Amino acid sequence: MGRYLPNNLDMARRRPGTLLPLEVGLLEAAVELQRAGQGDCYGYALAKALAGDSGDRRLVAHGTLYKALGRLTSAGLLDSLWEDPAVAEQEGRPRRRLYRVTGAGAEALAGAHAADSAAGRRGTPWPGTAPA
Amino acid sequence: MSGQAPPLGARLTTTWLRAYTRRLPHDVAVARRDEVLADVHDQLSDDGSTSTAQRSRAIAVRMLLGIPADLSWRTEQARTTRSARHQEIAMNDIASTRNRGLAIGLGVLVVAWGATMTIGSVLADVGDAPDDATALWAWFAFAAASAVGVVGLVLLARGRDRGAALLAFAAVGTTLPFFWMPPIPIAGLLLAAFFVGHLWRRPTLA
Repeated sequence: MGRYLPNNLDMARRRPGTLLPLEVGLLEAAVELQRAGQGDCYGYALAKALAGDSGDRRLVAHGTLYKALGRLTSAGLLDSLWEDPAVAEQEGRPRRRLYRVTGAGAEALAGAHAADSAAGRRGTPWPGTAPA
Repeated sequence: MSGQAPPLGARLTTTWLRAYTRRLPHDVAVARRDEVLADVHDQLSDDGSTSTAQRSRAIAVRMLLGIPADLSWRTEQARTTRSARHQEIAMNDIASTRNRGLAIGLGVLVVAWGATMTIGSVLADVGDAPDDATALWAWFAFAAASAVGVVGLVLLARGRDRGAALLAFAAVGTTLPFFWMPPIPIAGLLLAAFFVGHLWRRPTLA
């Protein structure tokens, strides 16, 4: 369990303007979902997209996922709005919170990619994941 | 899923959600619960190649692994709420101090006016027998209203806003004897309205 804690502690120590691997992953997943024509994306869809096609299908933990989404939204890198309750009711499920990458989010993602390329490293796996 | 009891993973997540969103602002708590419950519902409805039991277990594990982040999120939310509350109290204190200062200033004017009129009416009667009932009544009105005003002023200066009610009475009492000079009682009524308004403007914390 200890390996999941540093993700929270890093929040206070990281340099302003830098993205954590999980945040980069979320922005990439959101951009990918938008590009695939799915328009707005929501929590579970993002968790699945993050897990990708890996064999063990590890999904990021609820707390970790929604805290990170909250940070990205507060930073203006994601826009969020609640789904029309009528649509959710029609489909017989709870309403979802929908996310969309903003212009600032796309720029931040490009910046993170550029920094990764310059450092010659790839994003590290995010903590707090579990098999689906 | 309708008609069946939710799987254990969903029940555990719901219980944990209720626990860590307790005593947070209603809109923040509801938004968090709705978002996570939609996620749980989506995962349970996502057939894939796994059984319901496997999905329920995965939901429980996601909930357990997210507990540190949930607690950290709750701490942040509580801190934000506390900070906003402290700011609101500080703003109320500033407004309250300013209003009370103004009320005390006007209260001093009312008491000074009442004292002047009381002394003036006594001096005017020196050498004359106070046989005029109207003059006697006016003197008594000035003296009584001024005394009430002094008590109100002391209360207000001690931070007890109810003193404003006594000052309202004093403002009317010390100006009404001049009913034959309308601007004076009108000014008294306006002052009384201000003091009553001061009582209504008192900051209240919900």
